[in-house]
Amino acid sequence: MLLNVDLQKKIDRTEGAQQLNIQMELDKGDFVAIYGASGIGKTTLLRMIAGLSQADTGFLAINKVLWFDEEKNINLSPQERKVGFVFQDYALFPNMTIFENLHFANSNASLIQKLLKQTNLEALKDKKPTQLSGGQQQRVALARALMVDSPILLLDEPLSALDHSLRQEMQHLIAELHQSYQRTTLMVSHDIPEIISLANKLLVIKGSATILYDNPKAYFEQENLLDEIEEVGLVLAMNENELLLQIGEKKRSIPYSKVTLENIQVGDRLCLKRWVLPSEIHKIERQ
Amino acid sequence: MNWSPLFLSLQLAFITTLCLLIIGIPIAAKLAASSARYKFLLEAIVSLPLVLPPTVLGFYLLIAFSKNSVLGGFLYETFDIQLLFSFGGLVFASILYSLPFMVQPIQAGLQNLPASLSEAAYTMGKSKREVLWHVLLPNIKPALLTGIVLSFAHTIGEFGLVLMIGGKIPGETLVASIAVYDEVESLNYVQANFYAMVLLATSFVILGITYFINARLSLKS
Repeated sequence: MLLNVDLQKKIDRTEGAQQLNIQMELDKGDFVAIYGASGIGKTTLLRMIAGLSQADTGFLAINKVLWFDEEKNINLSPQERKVGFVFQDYALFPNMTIFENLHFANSNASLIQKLLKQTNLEALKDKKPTQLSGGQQQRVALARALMVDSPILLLDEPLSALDHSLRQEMQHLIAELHQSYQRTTLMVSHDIPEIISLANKLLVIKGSATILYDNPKAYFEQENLLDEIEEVGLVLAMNENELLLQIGEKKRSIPYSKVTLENIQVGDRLCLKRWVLPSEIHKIERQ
Repeated sequence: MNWSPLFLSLQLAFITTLCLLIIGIPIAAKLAASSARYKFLLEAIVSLPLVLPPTVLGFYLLIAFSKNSVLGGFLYETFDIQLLFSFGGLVFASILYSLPFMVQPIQAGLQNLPASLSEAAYTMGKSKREVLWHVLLPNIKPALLTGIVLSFAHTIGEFGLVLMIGGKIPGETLVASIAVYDEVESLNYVQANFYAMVLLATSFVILGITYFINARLSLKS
């Protein structure tokens, strides 16, 4: 068991102060999505793990080492804990170049090179964060969090500020990086399809209770929050990262990696399954 | 023309600003990061010189620096230092007098930075000092510049305080602002005008350069 959490904290919500209770056990390499209404304490949980907020009671252990134990009066500082943390606003240091942002987290030159390559940032490494687009800044934030030598990676709604196509691209990158670094990852997200494509576990915070589910997809299906759509697409064109498909009358490009699907050629027919949110009915008419 | 009071003013302003940078940055950082209940007391003390007539501060320093007081007596007997009517005393008084001009812009600059910047650095294992030096201060250059310039200019403009504890000893405590007053009293308007013009020009140039640099810095960011 890598991460052992039993934490309680009183938090101020719009409907008044309420107790947040979190119990969970995670293994190395788990990818947990944290799901729940706004202001319910999802970010607070990440902050309590990183040591940026303090729980009222309970304990937190990583690899059987106590990071926090209220009874034993143990509370390691964020510096002692050292976790990879991607903040919602990315928190890139404006005075440093992309390379310097990574170097400040960890001076391991070969890891910097590797991550710059994996996140496709090599050409931008001498630019300042303000010169980058939102998606590029997001990639820097991810790379920088992975520079921190820690078994834990915390992502606070990392994709919420990005548009739809960029989100998909980033999901792809996050999945690849997770595969390659095997960090136990906790990600706050509202986006159900995103959770299903990335996470193997789901922590749902409802009221004061939290429940950890082993199968995110099953939870959302059971809650009627998800529909599955099947479509057939004809491959019109392709490059290393993308496929251009004809689906019905529409053309769509989707991110693709050779690792996930081999030997695709132009002209192939592919079956695509997508998880979508049940669409809201906006009009009912008698026919 | 006697340039000595002008040089003395510049020397005093330079040394005071340098000391204030060293003292003011930690105080501003502490105030910006603190959520302590009694933080307002420290803020009020730091800001006192903004509203206090300089003669009030001068009066209490006059008493504190005298050989009969605890502080003045201790300094005189232990280190043979006499702050009253000396350049060292002026520096000490100027530091107190200009403290809010250094602390307030830096504190405001630090408070305007998102908390996530320092938090991100803490999660990388960086100490508070490293974060202040490498992350926070480089991102508040306009505030630092404002603090430096205001402290410098304010020290050059000191009058009442210097008069109270410095007297007007040529080459030691007779600074330019006092010299203007002194020359006017002696009806020597030409020399008074010379000091006044140099002070006016210096102040204008300093402020002009500051606003120019700040405009460039904000354009860049």
